[in-house]
Amino acid sequence: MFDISCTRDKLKERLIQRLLDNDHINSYELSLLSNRINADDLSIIIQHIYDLNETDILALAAVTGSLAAFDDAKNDRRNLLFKKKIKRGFGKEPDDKLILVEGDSWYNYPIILTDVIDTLSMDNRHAVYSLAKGGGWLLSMLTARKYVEQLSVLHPDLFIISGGGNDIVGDWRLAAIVQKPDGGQQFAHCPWAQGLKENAKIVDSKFDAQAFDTGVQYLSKDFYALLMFFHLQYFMVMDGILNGGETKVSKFPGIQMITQGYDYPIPSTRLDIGLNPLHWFIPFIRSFLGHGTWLKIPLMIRKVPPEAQRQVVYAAIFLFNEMVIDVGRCFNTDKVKRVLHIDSRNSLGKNGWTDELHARPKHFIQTGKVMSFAIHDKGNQQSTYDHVYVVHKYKDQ
Amino acid sequence: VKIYRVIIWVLFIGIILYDLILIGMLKSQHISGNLFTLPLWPKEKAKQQLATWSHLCTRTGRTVLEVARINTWIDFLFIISYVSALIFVSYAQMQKQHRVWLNALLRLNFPLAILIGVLDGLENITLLHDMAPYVVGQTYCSPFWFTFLKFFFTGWALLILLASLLTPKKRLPGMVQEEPTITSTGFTPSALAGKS
Repeated sequence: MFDISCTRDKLKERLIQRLLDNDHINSYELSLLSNRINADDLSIIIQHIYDLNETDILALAAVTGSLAAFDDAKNDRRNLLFKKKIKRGFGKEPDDKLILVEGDSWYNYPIILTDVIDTLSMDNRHAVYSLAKGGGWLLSMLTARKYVEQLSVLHPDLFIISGGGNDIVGDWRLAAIVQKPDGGQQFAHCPWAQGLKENAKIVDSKFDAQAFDTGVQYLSKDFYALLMFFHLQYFMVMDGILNGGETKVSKFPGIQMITQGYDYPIPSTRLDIGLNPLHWFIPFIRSFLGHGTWLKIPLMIRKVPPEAQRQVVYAAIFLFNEMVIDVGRCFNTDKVKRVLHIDSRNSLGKNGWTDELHARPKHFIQTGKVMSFAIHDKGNQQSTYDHVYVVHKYKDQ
Repeated sequence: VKIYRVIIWVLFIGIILYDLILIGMLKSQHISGNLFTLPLWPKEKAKQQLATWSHLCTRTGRTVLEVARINTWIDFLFIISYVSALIFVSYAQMQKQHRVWLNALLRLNFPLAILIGVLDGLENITLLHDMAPYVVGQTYCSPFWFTFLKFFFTGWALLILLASLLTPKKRLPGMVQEEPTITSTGFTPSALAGKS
């Protein structure tokens, strides 16, 4: 007798193997996989990508020590403010939005900087409950599933998530996903990634084709496997929240999700000591908080020439952003946008960085303002395109 | 962090209360001058004042100079508490402030608070030297510039705090979008994609 489930399992196994080998997976095949994959499959994939067992990967991804203490202190402060707002009768106004946040250091930079979620919390129309952790990996966020518990308790209007950056660059991992230039072979072996590029909408011609074409040649098959893994992770989270996953009935009808993509960072080890006293924190942060170890040093280890380093990161971040935008599209229709995306690309410029990964406060604040604007944009009529709000296109009224 | 914050505030308020009681006690005994403004006095006048204090006794039996010396040591604890408190309050205000310029100035309060503390520490060290029994009435090293700069930066930091308190905004501003032009990257160059 023909066993359909057995065939499906075999198909899934084969697709997973092809994903790991970066063997010509196209959009249709990835969407097939997205609908069939479970947490166990994701665990197998990541163990193969990182060449580590699950325990070691989770230990690698865990935020510990003083960073965890500072993260918790910031979240405690935010969540205290959340409770105060609820006590004062938050939710009576139609514009009041209860927001749950999960994310990384763009959403919780524990000292000195004002980050995106700090900005969102400044508005009395928002009661923000934060689980975000500076240094947090998407993998550990989704494995710990703290957001699931809080979703059930809070039933928020919005769930905002940012993650993936530390999975790529944390613990020198960037060195593991670059290779010697291959003339674009690996990119050519990934029709899905080519589709991301071809379907990308470029705002104000801000696309550096030369940087992308150079950079993409340095990205190894593990990068594409990781990117597809992110796609599966984001899809699983969104499907679980918006469609109820396997049950097909969402516990949170009407909830909206917001994703976020990073700007193109610049690999650097410079301390950027200057005379402007308002920028005193830049050399301080660059001296003590990991600057150079995320991008520049891993790329130097892999002997990527200095002139190509920015391009490698450019290509990776371009594809990462398009991947997140692409997942969001799966849950939106022309009329109803259940997933919004805040696109920070090209919003910081060369001098907009505190360190290799983090924006200067004024850019975090601008991203937060655009996010707030997106939240209150009725019918999402004023997005830049589709469900995407491009940060550099918006100015204060 | 929470425990540290509580300790700092208890220390900060406790030392202010202690100083207020001390000032009240000295005033009730009609003892002239005070240690807070002394560093700003002209050199000769300040030297004379310390010499006078070394002969005056308080109700506790200690000379005023001894009380001033103890108070200067206690001031080191006060420095730790007010530097921390200034950083805490500036941080809390900064995280409520979306105006970029005011947000940046509140952030500048962190190193300023530390600088104020260092200046105050240097002032205390100078005063302790001036109040040593073998020096009083003989020599006097003025901590004027430490004190002047300390008060100047403290005034600046408090002014920024005040500005942030007086300009609360309960909503983030609305935004307008510049008309975007949207194009496509087009197909992947054959050199890159042709092998697929």
